[in-house]
Amino acid sequence: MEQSNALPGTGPIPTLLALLVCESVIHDAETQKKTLVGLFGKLSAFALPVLINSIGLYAKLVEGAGKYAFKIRVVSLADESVLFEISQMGDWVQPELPLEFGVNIRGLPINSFGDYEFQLFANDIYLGRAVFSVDKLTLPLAPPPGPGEG
Amino acid sequence: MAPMLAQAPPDVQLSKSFEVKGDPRGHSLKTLWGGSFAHSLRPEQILLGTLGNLGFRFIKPIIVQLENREGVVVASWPEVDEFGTGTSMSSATEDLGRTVAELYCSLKADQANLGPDLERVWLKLQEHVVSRR
Repeated sequence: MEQSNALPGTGPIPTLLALLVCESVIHDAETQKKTLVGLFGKLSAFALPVLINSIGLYAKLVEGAGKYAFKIRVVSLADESVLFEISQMGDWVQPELPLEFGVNIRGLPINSFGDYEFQLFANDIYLGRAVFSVDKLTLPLAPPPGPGEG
Repeated sequence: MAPMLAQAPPDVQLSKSFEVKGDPRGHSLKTLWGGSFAHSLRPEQILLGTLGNLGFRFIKPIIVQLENREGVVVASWPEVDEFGTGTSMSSATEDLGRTVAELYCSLKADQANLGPDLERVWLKLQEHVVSRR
């Protein structure tokens, strides 16, 4: 017998198939297609604090149905402090189809180098994460002047 | 003439952009459309809805207790006396997920011969998780 994963008062627990970090998620309104621009796992910066001009998150889920309160958090893995949190209601009207969405964040402030992650929750249930790191950018030292130079 | 491509089904209208406003060094940052900076640390418990393994589907979330023991994050599921460890909530729950998946497979393979304690654990696992295989 097929078991239902329905919770009292909520929809079934979705399964997260993909959670990807990129520079930007472009959503075509006509076809509903998503284009992920600049997938990455590491950013580099000369100095802190730094603002990430554009960072996007793409998620694809299956096996859900009904209304969900989705929550996305950006967390520093150094101390698990929450840098950013957004909640958004979603209505999964076609359970037989996957649900996908993209979120773009402009100007995310980063105060320390290290690892960060996006965490995805549905109705406060943790579904998964996507990790990225922010590293210090150091330029290679200039070569010493050759004979007869400078 | 080339055939028209079928239009993809509309999805949930979640795709949005958020702009962070304020001083990045301050603690009073606000975002447009309701995003916020909570600056909270790791919670003491979470509802876990994944084992990090597509071979399993969740029926009911697991209430996972989180604690820090000498710099290591421990994610435990007291009802089945299992735990995972890591450097963060996420890595500890991933470790717990692997442990629970292994436990599920071993109990399933031996379910005809389980003693009372393991039988109780097996029943508890099936309340929360179902195997796709």
